[in-house]
Amino acid sequence: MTTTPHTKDAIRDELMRIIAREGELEPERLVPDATLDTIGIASHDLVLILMSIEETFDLYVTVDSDFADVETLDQLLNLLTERIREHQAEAAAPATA
Amino acid sequence: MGAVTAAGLGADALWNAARTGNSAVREVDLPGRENARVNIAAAIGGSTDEAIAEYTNATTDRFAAMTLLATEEAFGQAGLTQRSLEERCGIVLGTGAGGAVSTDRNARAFYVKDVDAEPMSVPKVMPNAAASLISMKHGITGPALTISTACASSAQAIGLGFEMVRSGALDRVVVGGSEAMLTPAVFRAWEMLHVLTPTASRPFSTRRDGMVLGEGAAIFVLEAADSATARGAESLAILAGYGTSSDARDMLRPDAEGAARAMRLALQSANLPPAAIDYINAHGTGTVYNDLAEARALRMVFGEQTQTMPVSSTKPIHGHCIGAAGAIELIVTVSALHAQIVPPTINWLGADPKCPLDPVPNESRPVGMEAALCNSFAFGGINASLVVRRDQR
Repeated sequence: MTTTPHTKDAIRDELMRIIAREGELEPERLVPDATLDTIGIASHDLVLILMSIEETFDLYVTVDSDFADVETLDQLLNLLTERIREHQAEAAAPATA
Repeated sequence: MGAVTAAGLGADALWNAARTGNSAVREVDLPGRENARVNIAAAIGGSTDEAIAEYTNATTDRFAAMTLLATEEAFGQAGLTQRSLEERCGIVLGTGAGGAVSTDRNARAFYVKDVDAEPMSVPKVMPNAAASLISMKHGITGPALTISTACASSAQAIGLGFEMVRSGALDRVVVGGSEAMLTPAVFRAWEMLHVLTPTASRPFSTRRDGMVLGEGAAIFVLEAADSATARGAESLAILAGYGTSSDARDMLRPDAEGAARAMRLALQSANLPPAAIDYINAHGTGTVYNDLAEARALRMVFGEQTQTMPVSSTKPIHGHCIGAAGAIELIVTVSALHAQIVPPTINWLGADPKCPLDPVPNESRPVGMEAALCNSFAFGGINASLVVRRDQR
């Protein structure tokens, strides 16, 4: 049983693995500057990626307005990494009323 | 016209909620969903639920019961209270899932065996059940159809019925739609798409993050002008045009060009220029991609007019009722025309620069209106738009 990735790099690596697996893509195609269209990440792939994130990180990521600005793989990785880290920080130090 | 929604029984209850910005979205507590990521919906409850229960029985699923209820109101208002055999009257209804509640129960009875099986499952779950029950109850012997195209179902049903009357094939047609799919399993299916907001639906707003599900039914009686006048019926509005198109692009992500095409076709069908439209009831689900695509499509059709023309989404009030959405939102649009008041888009936090339009944020607005347009855009890339005008007589 593996532990959930917690460092920024570990999270990014795991996300790349998730994207390659759920998008059924060769790792060589995952060039950070490439657009999601040219890589071949379609709308249904995004659903599978978010589903995998939910299972791996126990985090429900909704497609919110920040996703509208995402064009490249790098931007997607940054956004998802940020969300995951925020969630992990909250879980570690829950806000009290 | 008639309606049954989370806002209550009746078209008036729906309009009042839309006009005052009073959302019918609430927390839902579905069995087996203790670890739910999303637990809000515009679910029907209270006395409205009891009214639906009176029509629900061994041969009538919730979705059909709602339709029968809404039809009673519509027929009462239209002055059609006597049972009559009418070959020149048809029925065209829309639904996404048909008898979802009964399907769910039937599956549990078979696989889990913790509830009793229902011998009448087949006629309960079939999507045409609502249309057939109306036909049987009111003696309508003309054509009965059921359209199932997800979120465009009832808009297409209304449009098809409209064309059947316009072509002269029918004098009168009962149109609309219903949806009752808030079962635990279906809820989770929607949740897995990651397009449901866990907090609040905010169409066209900055920081929007998804849609909210709803359930309900809405019914209209469309009638040829001669037929209506001959029997002294009260006309609420004129259904003037209908346009529909397919994106042919993506299963989930809407395409602005496809949506624009449907709107242009609706305007052509109504023989009206874009400038004649005074209000748009948007599909406006509050998802990032729909609102973006719809805003782009509006700009393609209406150009600069988009800056000043009121465009609101009432989905945060009554929920996204999927197969019933088009019909429920047409009730709101017709009511808006009647009252000369545009209902607001609630939960709006601020403008999204990528959606440049006037969403009539948070408060209703009196606006002089002669014609309005109503949009419905579905998964699978199916688009439908309806144009409705004030009846001047």
